Formats: sequence, C-alpha cells, structure tokens
Amino acid sequence: MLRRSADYGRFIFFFILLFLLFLMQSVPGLMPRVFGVLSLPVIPAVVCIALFERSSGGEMLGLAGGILMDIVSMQITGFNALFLMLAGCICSLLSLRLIRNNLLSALTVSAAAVSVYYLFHFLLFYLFKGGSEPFYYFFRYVIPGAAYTTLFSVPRYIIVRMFMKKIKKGTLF
Amino acid sequence: MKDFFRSARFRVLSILSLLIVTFMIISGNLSGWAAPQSAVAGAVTAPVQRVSSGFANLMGDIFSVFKINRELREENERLKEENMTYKEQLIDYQTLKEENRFYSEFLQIKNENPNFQFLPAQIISRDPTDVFCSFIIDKGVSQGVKQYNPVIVATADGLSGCLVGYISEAGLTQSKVITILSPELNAGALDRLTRDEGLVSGSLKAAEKGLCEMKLSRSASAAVGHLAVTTGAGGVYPKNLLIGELISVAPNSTETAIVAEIKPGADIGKLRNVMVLTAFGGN
Repeated sequence: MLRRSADYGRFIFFFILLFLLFLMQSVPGLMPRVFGVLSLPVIPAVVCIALFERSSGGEMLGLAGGILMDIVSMQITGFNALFLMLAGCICSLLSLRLIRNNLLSALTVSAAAVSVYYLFHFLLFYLFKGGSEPFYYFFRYVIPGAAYTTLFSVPRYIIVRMFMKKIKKGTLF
Repeated sequence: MKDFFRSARFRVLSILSLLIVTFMIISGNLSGWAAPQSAVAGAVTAPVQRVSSGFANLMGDIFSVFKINRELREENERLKEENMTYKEQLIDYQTLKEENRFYSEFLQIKNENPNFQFLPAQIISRDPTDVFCSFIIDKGVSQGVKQYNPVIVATADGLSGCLVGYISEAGLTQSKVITILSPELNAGALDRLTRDEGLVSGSLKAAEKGLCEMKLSRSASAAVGHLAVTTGAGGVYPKNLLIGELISVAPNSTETAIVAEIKPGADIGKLRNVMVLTAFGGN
C-alpha cells in the first residue's frame, strides 16, 4: 500500500515537473533567449527521470513529455511523443544494465539524447523540407540550441536525485 | 537483453510506437489534422497556457510601469500600500484601454469590410524550435476556426488589417499559426503604388531580421518606401491586406528577378493578440 502510494506520488511529481518545464519552454517571456535560441528543458528532464525509473515509468513519462511538446510543435504531430518515449525506454534500460546512475552519466546520456533530437529535427524538418542555407542554420541554431538544452541536465538530475532519495528514506510518501 | 524483447513492457512499447507512427503518417498526409492525443492534451493544457501567458505579460507590464515611476517609487516608500493599490488600478486601466483600442481598430476595419468575420484570439505559446516566430492561439475548431483562415492585426492607423499569417492546423480549442516570416507561407502581393505583382514569402536570413521577402519580375519598378498589399488572388487572403513596407529592393543572385525585403506591418515576434478571419467573402 505504502509502495503503491509512493509510486503514484512519484509519477505525479514527475508529471508536474515535466508540465512546469513545458510551460517554461513554450510560454513566451518565461525563459531567456541565449544567442537567439531557446532551451528545451523537457528533454533532459525525461532522460534524468528515466535513469531513475527501472520499470516502464521512463517511457510513459517520456510519452507524456512528448505529447506536451507536440501541442506547441509546428512540425509533424507525434514526433516528440515517439522520440521521448523511446529515449525514456533506452535510458532506463541503460541505467538498469550498462551504466552507473551518477551525474556524469546523466550529463553524457542527456547530451547524446539532446544531440540526436536536434539532429533528427534538423534533418527531417529543415534539410529534407528544402530549408535555405542549411549549414548556416545548423551552426547558428541547432548547435547553440543543443548546448543550451544540455545545460539543463545538471539541475534536473540534482532535483530528481534529491526527490528519489527522499522517497527511498520514506520521508516524502 | 533477450528478456526485454520477450517482456510485456516491450510489447506495450511496440504497440504505442505503432500507434504514434500511424498518427504521424495520417497527420503528415492530412494536412491540418490534429492527432487525437494532441487535440485532447491541447484542450486540457490550453487554459493553463493562457494563464501562464497572461502572467508573463503582466510581469512585463509591471516592470515597465516600475521603470516609468522610479522617482515616484523612491518618494512613496512610506506610502507603499497605498501606491501598490494605485498601481494595480493603473494596470487594470491600461489592460482595459489596450483591449478597447484593439477592438475599436477592428471595428473600423469591419465598417469598411462588412463581409469580414473576426474572431479575437490570444497567443498562448510559441514553438521554441521555430525561428520564424510561429505561434499557438487559444481558439480552435470549436470556436469556428478552420485551416488556412488568415490571421491579422490592425495597422497602426487602424484603417486596415495587416497580414500576420494563416492557420496551419486547427485543433479543438487551439490552433497553430504560420507567420509571414516563414517560407511555408506564399501570398500573392502587389506594390500598392506601382501595381507590380509578386510573391511574398519568408526566408531564414530575412526572418532573423524580422523581415519577409517579395519576389518581383525583373522589370518591376517597386522602390523603397512603397507598401505591399495582398492581391486576393486564389481566395486564400482577402484583397488589400497590408503586408508591410519595402525597405530594400535588389536583384537576386542570378539577376533574373528582383527581391524586395519587407518590414511587416506588425512586429510578429512581440504580438500578444490577433484576429482570425473566419470569413471574408472571398472564401
């Protein structure tokens, strides 16, 4: 019973976290632009959460985060949902079987996930659609955007780790 | 690892992936169709986004008021409570005044174009990955919005409408708008003075400066300072909607056409409220 309420509490907390980050990245004026680009903090948040979620929670929360991002995306609906769901699944499997769950791993995996996301986004929704000056767009927007987004991995990981420690100690639920 | 591929978790993941890919394919082929998960999630989150957007605008207004009243703020330190009340009333007054100005401008446009049907809308979010300032408004199919409806604002003098973009996807309670800075928008336009016709669209380099481009034939005599308006050809946009002012005119790289840079009549990146033309007699 206690474990079940802890599970529900955990999912609710993570969903609220993802929703707040989604509002930060989509509502104009809530996040500063750096070199003309905005960050996508939902992506590193999904990765960090998935590293702690050993069951199917990683992909479910990834799916939720992706559906939120799809609401405001001008691109094909479903891309963010699919990407973040698979990213959540892969990250939780990596954490379970291959890598240690620490800040350095979280940063590395986040950087990889963010880079793959931005690369796919650039290829599918800019280059293959015939966007002009692709090299300029890549170096001016894609790389700075990916770097700015990856920066958010560190605070996300710290928040999620603090929360999970409180859950394990039983001080929260 | 083999256990994972045999597990129920993998089966659920595969089914979900298949469903999402199906929605993506349908969404890609039926342009303007909003996938069910996005439509439902959009209906649920739109009110929250609206509130957050209003909060962000309010904070911007509060800071601009503080800047103007810096001297008064120092003097009124002792009377903080009374001044906060006056400032709250001032913000309420400015909000109502802005709304009144917004609607009275459109009343003038409506008087001159009685067949226009407007739907006011608030911008609730923007795509953070989009460099062409596309945005989401808080109106959708349930309020009468359809795909390809033009989106406008009033010009500074309030005499006519100014084209901002068009509805690319209409969800249940919110819609996506592609702006004139985007290469995806193509509108027939003409130089109001010389009557030279051309095509307005966006480009990356122009969008970075907040501009769009108009391609004209090599023999066109358009010049800097002229105004570009819509032709109404094709029935997608009504006639004589202001697009903007030509700020540069030069031949293209191959010198086969003239490319004019246009400063849009509205500051696309800073808009908060727009109007959707749900009907205008030509559609």
